[in-house]
Amino acid sequence: MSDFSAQLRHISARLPIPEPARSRVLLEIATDMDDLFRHLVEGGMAPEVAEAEVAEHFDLSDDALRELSQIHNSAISCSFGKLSGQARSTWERVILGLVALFVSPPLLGAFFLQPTLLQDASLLVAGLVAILALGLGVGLWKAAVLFRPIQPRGPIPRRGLRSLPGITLLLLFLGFAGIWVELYRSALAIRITPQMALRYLVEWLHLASATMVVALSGALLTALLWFFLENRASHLEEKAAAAILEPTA
Amino acid sequence: MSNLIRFSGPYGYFLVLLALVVLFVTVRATTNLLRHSPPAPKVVTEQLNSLLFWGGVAGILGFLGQCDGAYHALTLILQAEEISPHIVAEGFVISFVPTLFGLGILGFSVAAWGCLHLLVRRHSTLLLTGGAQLLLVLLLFSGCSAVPVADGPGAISEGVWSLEAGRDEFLWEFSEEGNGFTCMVHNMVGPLKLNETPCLTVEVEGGRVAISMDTGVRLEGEVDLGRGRISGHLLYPDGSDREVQLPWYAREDYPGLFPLGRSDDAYAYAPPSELDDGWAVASAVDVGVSPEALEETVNAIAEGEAGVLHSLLVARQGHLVTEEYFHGYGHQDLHHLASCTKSISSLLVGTAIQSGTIGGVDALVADFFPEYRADLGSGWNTLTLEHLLTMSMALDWSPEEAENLHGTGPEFFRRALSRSVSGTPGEDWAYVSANVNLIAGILYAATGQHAEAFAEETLFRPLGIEAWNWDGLKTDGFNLMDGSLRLTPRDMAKIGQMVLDGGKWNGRQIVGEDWLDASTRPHLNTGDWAEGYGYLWWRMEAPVPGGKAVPVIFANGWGSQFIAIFPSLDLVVVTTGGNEYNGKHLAVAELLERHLLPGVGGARP
Repeated sequence: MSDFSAQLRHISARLPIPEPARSRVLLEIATDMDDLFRHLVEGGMAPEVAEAEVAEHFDLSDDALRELSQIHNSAISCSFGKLSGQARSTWERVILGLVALFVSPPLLGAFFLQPTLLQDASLLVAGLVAILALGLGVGLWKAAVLFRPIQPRGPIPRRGLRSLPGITLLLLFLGFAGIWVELYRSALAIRITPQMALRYLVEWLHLASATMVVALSGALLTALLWFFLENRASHLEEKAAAAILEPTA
Repeated sequence: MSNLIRFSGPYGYFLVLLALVVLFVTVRATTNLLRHSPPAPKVVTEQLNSLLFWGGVAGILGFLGQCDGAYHALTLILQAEEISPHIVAEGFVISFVPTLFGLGILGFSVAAWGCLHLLVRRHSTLLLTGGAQLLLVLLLFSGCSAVPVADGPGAISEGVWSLEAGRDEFLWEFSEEGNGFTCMVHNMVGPLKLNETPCLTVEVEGGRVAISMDTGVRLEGEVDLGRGRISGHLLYPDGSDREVQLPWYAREDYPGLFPLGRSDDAYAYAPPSELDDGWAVASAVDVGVSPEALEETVNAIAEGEAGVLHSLLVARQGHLVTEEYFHGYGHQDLHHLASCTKSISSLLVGTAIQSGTIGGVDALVADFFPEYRADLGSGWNTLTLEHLLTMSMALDWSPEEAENLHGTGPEFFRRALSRSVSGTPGEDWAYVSANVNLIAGILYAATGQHAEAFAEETLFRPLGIEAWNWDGLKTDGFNLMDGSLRLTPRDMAKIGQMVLDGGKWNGRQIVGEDWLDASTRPHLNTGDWAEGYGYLWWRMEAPVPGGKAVPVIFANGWGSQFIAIFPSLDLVVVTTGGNEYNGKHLAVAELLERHLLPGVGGARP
């Protein structure tokens, strides 16, 4: 292992992207530098020569850095980064935690306390529950990964984390789709027996609200889960990036 | 603001928390911006973005609150047999509150974010625009907190408390009296007030209310003035009970509660409308009726002097001079006649006798029911049609049956014919509605037509009556002859005018004059307030100024349904009403004596 901190500090100062993407890019460059250094040394090169070789290889131009930044900081990544960058202080996180705790009971209640919520919802609720289970599974898996000890200079395992906002959007989409599908079915029923219109409409509203309770609370839960995990990952990345920018003793 | 929190349920507290967070972040960012000269540090501009984040969380949480609240409310609503649009609408208005609350926070966040970004760039003109935008959002937000649901009443005696039951809506109105309360239950159907029932006992103590009705039904519940709701149970005499919610409404929400609508103006006389229905209309003064007397009468009705009246029609000298409707009713509304139907039944018997299909009032009732001969009780070989028409059959009905039994059709005829005579027919007068229904079988046996078809042919069409309903309790085509006919008050007045004119309507003889003379003449004393009873017509003397009295012939239906004919005054008065349960059935008599009759001049020669 060699010390590229000086070169990394130089790169960091020229990287045109904000946190948390900056730390992520720096960590990737540092990992690549370490890999290349190791490869050269294992190939028989003297460490000093290998270090110079790596330094030369990673002497990136401004254009190369801009290109690298664009790869790691697309519009979507930038938005996600900005979003997850909010509410960094402890008191803000406590409030978000409270909201997450408050949202959970109606959802958990649907399974353990009030099973009628699921019976009363649209047929698409089965899909909602399956996707929510997937989201919670991904969230728990990522939590297990992010909260265990991680190599100080290694990349932070982010794989799968981005699927959580996708699951959130899918839950919302399915919730609204369920409402419209059921509205269509109610309209068909009303066409046959118009005198029952009020009852059918009230039944539809009942079903729509049950579906949206599942979809919205599921979406809010997966979104908050992503928020905390994303923050955890960013925090680890910043910590790791700070470590690699420090010269080794 | 209190409404926003109250109607958002547990979501309200979290939304308040999020509103405080947004407010804090706004103040923090503003202070930091003002503290630094431009350009503002990056950390400050990043703080601005968190405004959007928190606003978004509030918006989503508010929407979730609406869905959760609506789900629980609709679950309860669907458990009811009948769905009330009123309750669904009210539930939905309330369910929107958390969404409005959340959107208000989001709107504020966006506006504050916009303003502060302008402040960062020192665009003072745009900042002014942004400030106005923020102010607008604040105004909208405060408007939302006031608009969705009105506050409850200040006291239980303000406004009315609504209990819906199928097509009926019962409005409970409390009044303070001395140290306690009284309560009146107004029965509404749509915009119409049908009748009213006073509560027997009312106890209001602390937040609890307990009411009993003379039917044995009790209402017990908690009064929540803040939410404008009584929550409790209706307890029935058989031990069963029903959970009920009575939301509060202002009286003004129900124009039908007011006799003359919501207008506080005193009534000013106006002649009736010409409707091309056979009635000639005239101004009161042209037929010797004082407009002031009519105004006084209508204003007295508006003040509740005659309880709940739905219409008042006055005709003199063959001209309709007053036609006023109250409590939401109009000239097109068919009104139940109650026992005025009996007098119409008498007219039908008269036309059948006139046409020869019935021999006369001496005909034996039992002869019209040969198929029930085996079921006959004792004494039917002496009972004539006249005994039936004069309520003097003296059958051995139990007191309860005599008062409450209504029915028609073959099974009912069998039941009635199986009773035995227990007194002196033709002498023992007793008001037994059930007996009158035998006329349905008599007319069918004599004419081959059910009463309604016979009435249409011989009475309604000749009188130009085009709308009626006689379906109530109709059985196997047999109409209920002691009640259930529904006519418009104008058509009721035609019947009165025809009786007054000796059976003629607009020059055409419809019912024989001899029959009318016989049927409106008192045959028996009733032994109470009326002077006598004819063939299903009542008869009495009404006092007029000068210490005199004039005869009145009248059809008398429970609840203040009257067709009153004053032959010596050439006057017909019709009223319909809803005084079934408030003890004011006969208050009309006093109303006419006090206000109207003194204004009718020039007795008929």
